Amino acid sequence: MPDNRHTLAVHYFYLLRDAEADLAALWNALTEGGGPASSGTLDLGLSNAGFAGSCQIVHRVRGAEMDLCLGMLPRLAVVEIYVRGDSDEHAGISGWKRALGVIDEARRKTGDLGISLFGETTALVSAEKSSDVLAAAARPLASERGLAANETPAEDAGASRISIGRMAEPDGNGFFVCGLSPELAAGSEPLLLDLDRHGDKHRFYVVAAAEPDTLLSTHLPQIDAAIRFLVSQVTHFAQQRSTIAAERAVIDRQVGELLHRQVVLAGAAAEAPEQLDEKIAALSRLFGMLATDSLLIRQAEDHLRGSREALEAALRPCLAGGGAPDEIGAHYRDMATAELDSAHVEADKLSFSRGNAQAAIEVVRIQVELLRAGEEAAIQSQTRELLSRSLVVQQERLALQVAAGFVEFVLLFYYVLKSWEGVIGQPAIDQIPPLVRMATVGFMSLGATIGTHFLAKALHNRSWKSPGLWVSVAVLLATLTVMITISS
Amino acid sequence: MPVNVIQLIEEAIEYERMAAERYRQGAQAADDPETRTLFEQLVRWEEDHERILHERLTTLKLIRGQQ
Repeated sequence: MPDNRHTLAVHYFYLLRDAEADLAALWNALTEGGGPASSGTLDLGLSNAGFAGSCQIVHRVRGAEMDLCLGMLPRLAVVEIYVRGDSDEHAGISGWKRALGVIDEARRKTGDLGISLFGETTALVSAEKSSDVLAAAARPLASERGLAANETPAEDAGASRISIGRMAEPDGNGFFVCGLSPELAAGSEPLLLDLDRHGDKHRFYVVAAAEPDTLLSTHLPQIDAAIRFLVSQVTHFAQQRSTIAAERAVIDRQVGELLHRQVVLAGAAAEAPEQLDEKIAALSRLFGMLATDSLLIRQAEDHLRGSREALEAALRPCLAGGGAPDEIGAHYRDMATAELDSAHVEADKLSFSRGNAQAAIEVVRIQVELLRAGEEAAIQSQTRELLSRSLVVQQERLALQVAAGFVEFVLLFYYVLKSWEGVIGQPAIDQIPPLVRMATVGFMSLGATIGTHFLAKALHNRSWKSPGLWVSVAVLLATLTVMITISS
Repeated sequence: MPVNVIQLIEEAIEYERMAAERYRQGAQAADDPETRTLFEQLVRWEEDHERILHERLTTLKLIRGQQ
């Protein structure tokens, strides 16, 4: 049966797509006890990761007072409550109070479930064209609902918000108007009003359009979710940046104090290299913190750019173009741009602080190197002294060795001669020419003296391959043979 | 051991809930209005902390989903 009723208001509950239990509890609470009857088992479609871009309606039920839709956004699930009315109610604003009453009742039913919502949005719908009339009528109703829901304004909300356009008005009664494409509402030149209330979790829109069902079921949740995501990111990253800025200020102070002590007061003079090494380690840790903070800021910039582009992508197919107002896009673009600018400034400051920390590390490292170079010079001087002493000792030992060799030669000469005389007798010795005798005994003694030297070396080195040793042995054997030959 | 920030925030939310509950009991057991209002103020602070942590948790989950 065709539904001839018009939509007076829509309420959106946003949840994370992985909060399946909360989503099921919310859906059941809305469909039980007089709510729209759910036909069959609810297929949440959470396992389906294919819902990219716009909001895809995966489930729809109709009721007497309200209709329900379950939509899927890339990272969020959205439960949509539609309150319908007749043409008269839709033409003006007379049906809004009743519609908000129905929505309040639904919110009351879900309020005690303890479910974790990403946010709620109410869109009031009318065919009325004047944005000022619509905003003036919607604002008190929205405020009433906000108070009725016991929503206390966030203490930190607004800290990062940018006042532009109508938000700057002294009474704070700002709203943003967006001219939408006539194709979205049967050629009625629809308008979207964002009653921005300084970052409240419950947001309000006014949609001025004749037949805005496609706009309400798919485009508005996508735009609203993109705005919510952008605003939550701006708040999150502004707080993160503020923490990073405070951390950077502390690090700057520590680095500045250290540089002052090390350079200006020359405090390193009394410090050992080990103490300076500890300072380098501490400075390196600070440098690491600054580097990771820079990384966080860069990531935040990437995320914000991505979210800003997502909002633009959500708005682009809906905008009327041709000079129609796009205050919503401009407002949130400016908000993201302001945070991006602040992030950029912080990134520059972090870069400067990193440079300071790096310079401090270099200063302390040079001081360590200078200290270690001094120690090395002292060690080298001691080594040189030891080497020169060793050289003197070696020279003395060489002189002693030569003297000992000479004494050995003389002793051997005497004993070889006496032994030869003893073996062959004095008359036989006398018959040998004295020069031959001296040469033979001399060669024998020389061979023995040198042979003893090479033998000692061979024993020390455990190697019998010394040619000197074998030459000495050969000389000894040859001399012995000569002695035997002469003696016989 | 890597720190799971999501888990840490969930634990922090639980601590805030427990603290709020303790202060709520303190308000109920208070002997004088001054003590009661002090405890009620503390309850509101803890509830605010819990709300802020909830918002951060959701934002973090969405940011991680974006990566």
